[in-house]
Amino acid sequence: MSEELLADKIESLLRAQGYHVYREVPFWLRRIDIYAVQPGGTPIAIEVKLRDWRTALTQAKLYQLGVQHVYVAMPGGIARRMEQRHFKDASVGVMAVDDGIEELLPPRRSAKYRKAYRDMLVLSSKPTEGEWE
Amino acid sequence: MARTLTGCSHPERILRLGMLGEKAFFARPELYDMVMLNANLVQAFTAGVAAFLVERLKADKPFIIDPMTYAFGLPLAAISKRTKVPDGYRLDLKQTFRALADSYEGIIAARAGQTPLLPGDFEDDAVQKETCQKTLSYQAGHLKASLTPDVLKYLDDSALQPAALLCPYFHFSAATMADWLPTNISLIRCACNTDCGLDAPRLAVICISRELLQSDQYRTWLDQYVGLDVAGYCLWVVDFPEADATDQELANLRDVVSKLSREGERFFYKIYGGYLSALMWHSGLSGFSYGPGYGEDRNISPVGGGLPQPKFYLPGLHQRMDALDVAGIVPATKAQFMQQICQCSHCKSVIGENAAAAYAAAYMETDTTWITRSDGSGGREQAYAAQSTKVNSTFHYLAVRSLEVAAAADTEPAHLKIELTDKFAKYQKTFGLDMSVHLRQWAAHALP
Repeated sequence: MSEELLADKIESLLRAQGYHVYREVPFWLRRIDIYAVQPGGTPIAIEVKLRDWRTALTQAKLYQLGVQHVYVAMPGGIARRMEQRHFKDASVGVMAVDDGIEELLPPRRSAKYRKAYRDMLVLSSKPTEGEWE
Repeated sequence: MARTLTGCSHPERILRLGMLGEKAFFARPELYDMVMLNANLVQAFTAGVAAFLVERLKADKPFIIDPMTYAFGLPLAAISKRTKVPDGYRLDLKQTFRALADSYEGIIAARAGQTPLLPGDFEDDAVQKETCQKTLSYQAGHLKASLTPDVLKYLDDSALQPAALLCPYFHFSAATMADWLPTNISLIRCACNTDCGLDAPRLAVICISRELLQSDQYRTWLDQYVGLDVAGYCLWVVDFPEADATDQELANLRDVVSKLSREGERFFYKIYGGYLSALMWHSGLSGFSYGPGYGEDRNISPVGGGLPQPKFYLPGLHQRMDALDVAGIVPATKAQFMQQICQCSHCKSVIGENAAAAYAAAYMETDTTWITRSDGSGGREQAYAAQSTKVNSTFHYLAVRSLEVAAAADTEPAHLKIELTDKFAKYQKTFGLDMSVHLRQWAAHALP
């Protein structure tokens, strides 16, 4: 399975839960794999990775500047074997993706979050389908 | 304390004009001491460069010209463009180098676009003499000759004359040292005895691969250069990011600086350098060059990959970093920002009371464009750094460099070591060992 297919799966599961989903959202010169928000809810950012959890965590920590709740999502088998201490220390949540999504570790509100950095998110891009935020 | 061409009391900041589009970054003369120009740029845009220099001369900024002779010893592909022909591609020498070679005449003009120059091409004394005569005369008079008498009458005799003349030079590595080193030494000796109509200091350029700093092999070339009767030296260690320098490279580099400068009696410049070079002021280094947008190290062949993205120069690390990485340590207020991140003149002007918001606005502004897939099946938003971000990042970098050279010159080596060690302790916790270890290396090996 590719990262893109994994992200497709997460997107459809989130949409089924009522989230508006944005893919590949520009944030400074990087891209957030998935940015999702439920009406009236707090937005979440998700870094999708198949294996390399260290790189995923590094990316997720940067996204915490502009998004309060950030997850790393990985295939279930890998996510469940992973040492979660590093994610807990960084306040980053962990999602296991199988047929559904299981939240293994909830994110905590980012202490690094600043409105100024949130404003850098480019949400003017077209959502992959359906509605705009 | 080192000797400088401009007489300033800190390492000279030599700002390199790589392309005319960078002229705007020379608008604040307090941010640099001297200008360095590539001869092929001078050749391609003679009138524009001359006009630029006349403006800078008003601010009393001297200049030097890199004759770029090494380029004619490179494989043709390095200085050529590919032209499509029916059965493949043809290499055509770039116009700027063609024109430069024609100005240099002689062996350079004859070989340019045909075969790279080889050491054997300079065995004949007459060829050496002609090469030195032409390349020095070019530096001494090409720009002035481009101006019309009605412009020249407003300038004094010294206008458009470089502060020093660089001897012709060619790159060598460990594998080619036995071939090119004797030729380089001969050319320098010849250049020192060549009259080109301008009595300016002659500087020998040493252009070497990095491996020639990595072992005791450096003594071989150092011994050859140290006895030359030149006013000073310019050292270009190719593709040598200062933060990557090993213990031995640092120790050897310091020995080179100390011996060639005769502990500050002769000029010693590093072509491409950063804060490490500033620290070497205490070993006799006169100054160092860097481009406003192209960093502090460079390979001899052009490197592809497009324009580099602007980065934020973090003064504490003495390194450019992704602005997003720095955003994570930006504190809440302006006062805290000045204390913890940067107090350069540019940050003082752009950072407001809400430091994070001001930092994002000044150093992380992006524009976007919609990139459509080639098959038309969709696309995505692509972000790129806004022009304002590029300008702010560059002026911040130049302003910090000014603070760095002043501090490096005014602070005792023992205190500089303590500062570097303290910064290492601080930043390794934030950015990790890989990003900060150079501070510990510099503290241990870059200072007397």
